[in-house]
Amino acid sequence: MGDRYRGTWAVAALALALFAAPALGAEYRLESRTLLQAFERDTLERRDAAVVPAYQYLQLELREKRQPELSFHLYGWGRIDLADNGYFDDQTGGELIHAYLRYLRRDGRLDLRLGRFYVFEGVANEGVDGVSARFPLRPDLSLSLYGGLPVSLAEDAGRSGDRIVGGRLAWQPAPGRQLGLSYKRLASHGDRDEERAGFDLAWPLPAGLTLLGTSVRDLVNDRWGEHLYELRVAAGPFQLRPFYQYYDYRGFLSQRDSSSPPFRFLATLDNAANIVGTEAYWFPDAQLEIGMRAKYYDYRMRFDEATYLAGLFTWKWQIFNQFGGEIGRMAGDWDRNRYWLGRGFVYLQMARNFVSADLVYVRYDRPIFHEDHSLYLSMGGGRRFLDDRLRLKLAVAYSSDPVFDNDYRCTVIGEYLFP
Amino acid sequence: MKKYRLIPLLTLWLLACAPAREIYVPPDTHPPLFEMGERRVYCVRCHGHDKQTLDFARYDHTPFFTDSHRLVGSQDERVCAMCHATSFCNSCHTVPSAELKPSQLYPTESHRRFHHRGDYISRHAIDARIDPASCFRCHGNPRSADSCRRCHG
Ligand code: HEC
Ligand code: HEC
Ligand code: HEC
Ligand code: HEC
Ligand code: HEC
Repeated sequence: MGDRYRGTWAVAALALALFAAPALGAEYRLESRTLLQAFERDTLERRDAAVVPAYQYLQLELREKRQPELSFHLYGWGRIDLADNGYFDDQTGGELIHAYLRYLRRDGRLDLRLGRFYVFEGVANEGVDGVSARFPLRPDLSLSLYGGLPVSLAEDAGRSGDRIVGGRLAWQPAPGRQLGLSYKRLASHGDRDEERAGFDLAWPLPAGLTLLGTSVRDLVNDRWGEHLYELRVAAGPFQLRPFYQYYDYRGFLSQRDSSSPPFRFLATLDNAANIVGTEAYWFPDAQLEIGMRAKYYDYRMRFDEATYLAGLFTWKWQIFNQFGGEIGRMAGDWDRNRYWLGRGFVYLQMARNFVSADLVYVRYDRPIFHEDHSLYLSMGGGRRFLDDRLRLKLAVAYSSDPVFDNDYRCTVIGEYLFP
Repeated sequence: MKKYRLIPLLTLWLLACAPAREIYVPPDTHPPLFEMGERRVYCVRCHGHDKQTLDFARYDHTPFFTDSHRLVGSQDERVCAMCHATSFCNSCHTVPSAELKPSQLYPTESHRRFHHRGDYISRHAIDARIDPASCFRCHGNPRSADSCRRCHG
């Protein structure tokens, strides 16, 4: 399906669903988000050309009243560039992110999906055009399977021979205890592009400790792609989450059709990274949270070690009001891989109104395009109307950075919930 | 074909020793609670540390939850689905890719710790050299790398 037709398809599917709904005696919930943005960019023909894209996002859920097990879910967006100064490849664009029919048995023990949906399961983090099923095999064992065409390959030269199949088997011997085996195979034009098997676990240990983790085997190159294991330790208001991660560039960053350009070169390196790190939290009271994240990277080649350290706090009061700050340091082995990052934000709600602000400052150890920092400031506000069914929001963002001297982006948002 | 010999054994184990206890299946939706609002939630604040059904502490949305929900997200999608339609996840996880990054799609939500906030074009090369696998999760296929193409071919 070509780019230009996708938006049309989304609209057609939506119209069909909306017209069919009352006829079938269905109830529906439609969430509409409209964003109008304005900013300036240099294009091939013009300097500081105005770019004014209007985005429409729609999310629809339909349910048959007499048969609530059956539902239809749709989510997609369309965009038109009102200025049409050649910033976008096409004046219009759009995507159908998901559109599927779901059958969920009342006791939750059979879950079927048909159409375009997204799968997060074990080794899968994929969009699929096809079917999926999830059901128990035994009281403590459940299986989920999916198959169809991968959305990730929908673009390149037709979809014949493109296939994705996979699934996950989960064993839950006791509440909170889980072992999973998962599998994914992706073929592009009939060639085996990606084949991965994964193991994952969540295992409570004595003394309130929990072990979580996963290992992924790349079956195409027959090597380990990734390991990640994390231990969670809780002691009153303190929590510690040390972790260990390993990944192999060739095993993890696949080099085939299903891969992406920026990583093609990296995927050919015989590199691997060993990462140890931790998250730590302190919750002095119900309002304040203090967190820290540290990572130490060690590579087989190309770089020496690197460290990343970040600390943050958030102060929350009266449910919706909060402010917070963050400071982070990325320290690679060379100057060009180092920066400091600072961030502060506030979000305040007063009855039906809110205001928010966000500041990000980054300082690079080695200047990028002769500029050693980026400054970003965003301010926003909004108000709810009509029993909260309508929300209007406005945001203005300013950025001064190595790429843009003075860049402004204004966004107006209207959100409406039907019926 | 040595590795496939395990399959009959596994099937046997599957059919034997079935325990009486049923797996807990969370309900389709979580009750909408005003107190929960639109901010990150600590499950244990309401559910305590009782582990009869779920280990609630595991799903606590800590300040770094954006960076570290992957282990729970890939294991317990059904728990997430109680509160989040997949469209919520799709604001950060999209195949095909969206034109807007999360902080442009929700520019007023300063309380959310989105990755890529601010000027990410300058910073991304550093993050990508240090930890390319973390990017590959979301930009690892041709459709989710649409926006990289104008500079990376
Ligand atoms: C503001 C309080 C609050 C928070 C925070 C909260 N819940 Fe709940 N939850 C409730 C209430 C109230 C119910 C309905 C009563 C019940 O069944 O316990 C419920 C029900 C549930 C149920 C269904 C229980 C059943 O009967 O089968 C699950 C599962 C659940 N919550 C999981 C979570 C998870 C996971 C989180 C954190 C991401 C969470 N909840 C955060 C208040 C909360
Ligand atoms: C009890 C309801 C509940 C459950 C269950 C739940 N979440 Fe959330 N989650 C929330 C709320 C409320 C927010 C705040 C939403 C917002 O900021 O707009 C949130 C925010 C998030 C965020 C964004 C954090 C940020 O700062 O932007 C992520 C990521 C997330 N959830 C992932 C998950 C995953 C993965 C699961 C399943 C393991 C899950 N959630 C289960 C209620 C829940
Ligand atoms: C605020 C943005 C954001 C939202 C919303 C979000 N995620 Fe994520 N997710 C991330 C980031 C960032 C990573 C990569 C973390 C890392 O570096 O390991 C990630 C990684 C993951 C992974 C691991 C993917 C892989 O290929 O290894 C899974 C699974 C996942 N998220 C599930 C979910 C689910 C389910 C939801 C919705 C309930 C969700 N996420 C919502 C930002 C988000
Ligand atoms: C949770 C998924 C996720 C992860 C992990 C992720 N990205 Fe992104 N990224 C997105 C989304 C969504 C967009 C916006 C849509 C687009 O441009 O494709 C985006 C946009 C970008 C952009 C364009 C930003 C701009 O301001 O125009 C760059 C550059 C980028 N990502 C680089 C990276 C790098 C480098 C990493 C790893 C350090 C990474 N991303 C990790 C989801 C992710
Ligand atoms: C505006 C142009 C631009 C865009 C858009 C862009 N990049 Fe980059 N990228 C660069 C530049 C410049 C470098 C630095 C090259 C160097 O220093 O050698 C870079 C470096 C990288 C590297 C590191 C390569 C190495 O040296 O190991 C990766 C990986 C990467 N980008 C990924 C992405 C991804 C993924 C996206 C899309 C989400 C993206 N980039 C979008 C310009 C861009």
